[in-house]
Amino acid sequence: MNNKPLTKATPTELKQIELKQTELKQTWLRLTWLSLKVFIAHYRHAPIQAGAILLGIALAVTLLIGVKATNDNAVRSYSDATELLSQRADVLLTPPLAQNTLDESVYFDLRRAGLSQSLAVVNGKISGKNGQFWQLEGSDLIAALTLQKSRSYASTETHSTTSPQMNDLPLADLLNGAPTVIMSRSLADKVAPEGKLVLENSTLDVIAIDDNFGLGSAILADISLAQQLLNMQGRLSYIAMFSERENLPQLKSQLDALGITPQKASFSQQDQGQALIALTRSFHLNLNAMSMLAFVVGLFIAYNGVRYSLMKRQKLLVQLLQQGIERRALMTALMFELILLVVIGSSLGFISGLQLSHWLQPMVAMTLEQMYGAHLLPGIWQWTWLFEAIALTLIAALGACLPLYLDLTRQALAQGANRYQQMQAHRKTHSIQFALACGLLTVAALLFPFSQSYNISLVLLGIVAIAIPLLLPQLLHWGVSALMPLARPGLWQYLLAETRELIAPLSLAMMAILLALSANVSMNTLVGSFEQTLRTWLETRLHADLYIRPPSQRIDTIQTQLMHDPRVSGLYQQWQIEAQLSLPVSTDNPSEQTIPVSLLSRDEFSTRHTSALKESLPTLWQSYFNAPVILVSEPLAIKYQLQLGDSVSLDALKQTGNSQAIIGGIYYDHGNTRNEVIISQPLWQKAQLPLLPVSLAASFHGNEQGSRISEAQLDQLQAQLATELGLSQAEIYSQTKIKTQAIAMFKRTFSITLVLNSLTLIVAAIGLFSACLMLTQARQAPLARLYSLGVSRNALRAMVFMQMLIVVLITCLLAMPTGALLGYLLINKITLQAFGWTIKMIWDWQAYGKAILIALTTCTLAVLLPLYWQTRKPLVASLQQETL
Amino acid sequence: MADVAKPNPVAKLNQVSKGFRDGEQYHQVLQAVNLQIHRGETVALTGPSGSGKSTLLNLIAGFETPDSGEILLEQASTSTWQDKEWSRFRRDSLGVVFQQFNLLTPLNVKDNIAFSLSLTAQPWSPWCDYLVEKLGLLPLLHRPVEALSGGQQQRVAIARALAHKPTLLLADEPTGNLDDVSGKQVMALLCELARESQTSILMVTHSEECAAFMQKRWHLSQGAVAIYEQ
Repeated sequence: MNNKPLTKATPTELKQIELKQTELKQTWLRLTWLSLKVFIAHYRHAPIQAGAILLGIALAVTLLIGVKATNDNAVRSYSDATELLSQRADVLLTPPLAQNTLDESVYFDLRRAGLSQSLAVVNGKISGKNGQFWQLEGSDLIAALTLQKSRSYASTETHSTTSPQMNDLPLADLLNGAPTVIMSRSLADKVAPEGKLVLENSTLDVIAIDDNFGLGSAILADISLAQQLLNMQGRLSYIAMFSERENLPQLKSQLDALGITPQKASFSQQDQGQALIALTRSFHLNLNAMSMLAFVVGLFIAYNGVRYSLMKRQKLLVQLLQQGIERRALMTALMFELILLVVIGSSLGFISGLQLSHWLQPMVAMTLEQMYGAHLLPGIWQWTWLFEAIALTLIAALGACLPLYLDLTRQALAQGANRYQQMQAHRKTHSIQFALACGLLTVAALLFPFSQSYNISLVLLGIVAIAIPLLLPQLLHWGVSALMPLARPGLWQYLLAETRELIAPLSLAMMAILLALSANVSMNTLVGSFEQTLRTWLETRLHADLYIRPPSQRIDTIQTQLMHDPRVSGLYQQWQIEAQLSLPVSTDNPSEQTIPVSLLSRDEFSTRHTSALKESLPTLWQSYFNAPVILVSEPLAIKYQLQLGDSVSLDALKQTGNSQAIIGGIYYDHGNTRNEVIISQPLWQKAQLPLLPVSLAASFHGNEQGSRISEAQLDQLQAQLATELGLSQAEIYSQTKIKTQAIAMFKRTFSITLVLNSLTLIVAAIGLFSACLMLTQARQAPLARLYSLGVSRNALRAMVFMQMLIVVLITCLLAMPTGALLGYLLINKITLQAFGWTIKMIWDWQAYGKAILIALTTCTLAVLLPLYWQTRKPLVASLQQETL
Repeated sequence: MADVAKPNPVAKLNQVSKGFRDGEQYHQVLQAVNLQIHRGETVALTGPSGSGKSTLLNLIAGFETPDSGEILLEQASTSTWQDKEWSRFRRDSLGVVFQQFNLLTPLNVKDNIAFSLSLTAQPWSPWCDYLVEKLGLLPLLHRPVEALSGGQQQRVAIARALAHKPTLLLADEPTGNLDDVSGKQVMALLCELARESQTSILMVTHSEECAAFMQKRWHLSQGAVAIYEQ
């Protein structure tokens, strides 16, 4: 080493150094700019290359932003739209234990006592024309107006968005008792374009209000009209109260002073949508996972495009280096190019992502409303999403492309890259990828049995999802090599030998296709299996012919009427209250945890024959009817890791002298996200819980002794009973109708996932198309060589098609076990842990066939189109072209 | 005069013209060219760059179509030939050696040579063994073509072009990528093997030394051909 003594530089020397540095900087900048200009000129001649990169980035960002906007909007809605007219209640006064409704007098007491920050609400299902059901929300509009005014003053500083005002409504008409209901504009445009809606056989005027009110698909009316329509005169569903958090204890004492005790109304503090956020976390996590999958698939396309464009510029880059452009300047130019492409692609993706979100939101709104009762507000968007998307895409793109850039700038100047060496390097990379995939799969296989949490399982699923595409190139290589001995010498032999070489340039597109296909197959397996499981479960659960849920004040009369009805062959009851379940303190649960649950009880026949038990203690039924033994729903058991024989505490059992109970059985509760507990009738009565059931179910005699009633007779009987018992169509359901509605709801629940899944497959198909297009163009020279040797154009076309077919078929074949593996994990880990539903896995050949068909059709189009363009041109020109 | 005694020509061009449009401009490359090459004849095609040498070769191989005139191959007019007929001619009767070798990279040396045979369902023959031995390819038979040097690749290209004993061999600067010594060796071998298989050769070259290996020389200039017997 040359160790010069360090001496202090003179000002002149310093200036010289500074000048030299400036000059160097200027040279470097000039060289970078020159290189960039050459690259721009390259893309001007090969716009398809820039197009492929932009397409990949734009598609990736579209799906990312589409789902992000949908998710963010939903989460925003939970805190902003949990109450009517964008009001957020801090406290709810709900019906006391064992009652479905509150007495209206409680509300009047509150108002009289000066507690004006309260809002009376009635809600319920109501039938419309053609048997369609609507959620009707009725509230005291005057109170709502006053409240909104006072609360909007308070919130102007915190809410930047302008919320719509009640003043815009024709209040005079509404308060005069005019038969008018309010709907969100988007819904009104769909169901009441002429401003009229038929509900419970009454024709009502419709006022359409801005979607920002957060009504979703609910209908709003003044409380008096709603009570009339819902047959709830003098009753309320709940009272929403508004108070600062610190004033809540004071409010509680005020209520006590007014005599509003738990016997009159239950006091429950609201969480500003936090419970809903927690409840829907799995749902949104699923959507996020799907969008990340699509994002990755999109980035595969972009990366493939970058790689192809670099491959085509290999000679150019060497020439630039030979001309004296510094490697550093070349690298910077390549980086600038990538940044530019990412910014343009992300901006395009941002715009289309917002449009996608606009299409997805009604679907998500429907799902969330059906599953969790959440209403969504119309979409918003933020510039930060664009910056986030650019940053994420840039990080991913730089991470993926940096090794490529470094390889290129490091290549020897004396020669162009040796293709043979490149092929060897590709094979080595594929072997490493395969080994890495095996390693990842082994890690996942070892860790999965220990994963009890949904989040960890999702991470492990992510590892499997990463490993699957990494397996592909090596497996493709082995697959094609296995076919080699079967090939006849000549064109067939060439076909397979070249296919093996095509694996490297095609591998990224095929990896994206495999990932999308596996995800598609797994999701279809999950949905198909769930549907089948749900159908079987409904068969077990629904044994009666008609299910009746009348208003609480009339249930006694209706029960008596049905008991004495000679047509009824069996009458079954269900009791229900809301209760609190406490978990004992243990090592897993260091502090006592209290969980809100629905506590149910059913008649003995229903309990014994319709509880689809997952597992139970050996002597369940003996102890169930004679001891404090309970049944818990599977979602509850899984969420809180409850086991058979565990002892839990139920506040509702206090009256028995012992609130402890043993878990004697865990039952399947598919499609239900609430926590449920069932206790026996003797225990229910011992706990002095309400004697009146909340719903009834009845079976009817058929025409012949012992036979079941026919469908047609049942429809007739349902109509007759509705008239005789004074029930609306929303209060009496047939078994068939419940099943149909449950399946329809189920389908809606999964519609968003299936749509996203299909979009991912489409993105992958576009990726395959762009890869095939670029590859076929790049292969003009090898094809021309064959042509010069006497292989006809038709034989060439058939050969190229066969090559792509082999690669796609092997990929599709691999998608079967990988899709099944992902499906298995989705069913037995993710869905089970996220929702608590055990599903029997059923392999859906039809869905698999459909996915394969899409892949094959895309492949056919992707090959035929460029091949057609190419074979129209004289092939001789291609003989001098560079090859892959 | 000499044509009367000679057998029917392998390739014959009657009044063949060919031009290219480059934007607004039209370049006439070949102007009413009349030529014929007989069985076993070897011809060097020379001329300045852009004189249409490669175009002439491409027209005979069917890679391009003439604007006017007629090309007869093995006494058959190609005017009505479609892809099927052209492909059959290339498979059965034509061998091509390119300056860039244009070997089939996915195949090894032996499979490259056997490829032309396989297209016409012919087995590997003693002639192929002879070619391999003569061209010094025996130790290289199972090597990937890309692992070979330029000279070795050119010898593989010659073996492939002659393996099915074509009646006509078109060669476009076959020694353009080789040094002088290798170039001469390759030319000598090419001529010797063509003579043994009774193959006619039409070779584009800029090299006087290479041209000297051929029996005839055609010189292309400004779209017209001057013929010299050597």
